[in-house]
Amino acid sequence: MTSPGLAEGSSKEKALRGLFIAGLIDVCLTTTAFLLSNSSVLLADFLKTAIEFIAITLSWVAIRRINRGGGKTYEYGLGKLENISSLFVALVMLLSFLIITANAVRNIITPGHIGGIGLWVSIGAQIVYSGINGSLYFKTRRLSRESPSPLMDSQTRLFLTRFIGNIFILISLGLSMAFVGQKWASYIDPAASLVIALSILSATLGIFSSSVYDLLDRTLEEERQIMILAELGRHFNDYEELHGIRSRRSGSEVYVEIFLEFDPEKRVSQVQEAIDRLRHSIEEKIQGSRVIIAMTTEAIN
Amino acid sequence: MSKPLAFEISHHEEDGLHVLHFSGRLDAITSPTAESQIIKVIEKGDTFIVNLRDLFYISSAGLRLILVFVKRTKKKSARMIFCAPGEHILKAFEVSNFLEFLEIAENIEEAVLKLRT
Repeated sequence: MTSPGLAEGSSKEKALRGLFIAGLIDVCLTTTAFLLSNSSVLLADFLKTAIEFIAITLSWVAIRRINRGGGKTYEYGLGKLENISSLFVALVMLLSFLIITANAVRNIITPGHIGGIGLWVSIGAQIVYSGINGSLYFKTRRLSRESPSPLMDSQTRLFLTRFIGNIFILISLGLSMAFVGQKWASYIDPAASLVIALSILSATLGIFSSSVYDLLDRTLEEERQIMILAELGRHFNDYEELHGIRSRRSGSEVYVEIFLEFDPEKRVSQVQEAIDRLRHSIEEKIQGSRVIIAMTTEAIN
Repeated sequence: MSKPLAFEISHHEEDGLHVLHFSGRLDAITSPTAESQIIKVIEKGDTFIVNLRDLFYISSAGLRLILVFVKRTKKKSARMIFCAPGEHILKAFEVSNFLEFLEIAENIEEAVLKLRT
């Protein structure tokens, strides 16, 4: 039987595998378009697509390792793999931003009209991919809402950026080609590439802030701590003593360990029932929590 | 001058009745010190009144401490009554379901009466 956690992981993996194949085709197209033209926008598009492809590949590898590699032995550690992947992608994005900006500044200083067969390759690709990226955006947004995580969050952001980017590039290329005789039109291409660079920078900052925050193990917010105590209060008569509570958040997961002493006269089955009741009630109240209740007769710090 | 980050505890005993007076803040910073002080008192007797009149803030760490001590007194068949909690403290007890098991009195006199009867 498949547990809900495994089914959720498998669903994420399937989604990412589909995105990996789509991304690979997109990279081939944007590389061709970039190499067969002299457009700054198509350079920006190539770098942006390459970033997305790296992000998808890393996410796919991370999810595969989480689902298969460590199994239950490494559940605490592999949650961080998503955050580390996101951070690496953010670094590549930052580098791309610098390359696009430098190229755009150069083309603004020495402007020239764009041309080449690559423009038509790109226009065709943008039309097809705006449809694909629009639908993928809605798909990842749904997955992200069902199971919030830094990984799915960064994917949703990436596909929205891609969709808007497709429309934007279409308009930019269309205007540059329509007004090819006008001097001012030679600035459309580098200016549009700067807009793409800024959108990449904005996404980079978002990924940096959320992933760095999630990478830091931290204790639970006060509100959640009180929710745990409220459940201990509700089940007050089920245990003899409270010897300690440990809690921490790692990514989207919340880990809670509660150390309780039970009446030694109680039967093991009664203690087991009490533990299950308390564990279920806390896990229901705190989304994404995993609760362990340990029996002890000593204070735990 | 008041110390807003401090927690102070005073204790006196009269005819076997131990009265603890909490004042200040009972939070993650102050609760470790409070814990060691309260443990010493709890070991001494079996009837306790905890006066919360001057306790103006309690965090989850403070609530946890109270849960630990209520459990400990129950285990040794002792009794602990909390009296004169302020509005914020009472609200904290309410949201954490502590009112389901805490014995609360409006003032010390009422707490003494409850313990004597």
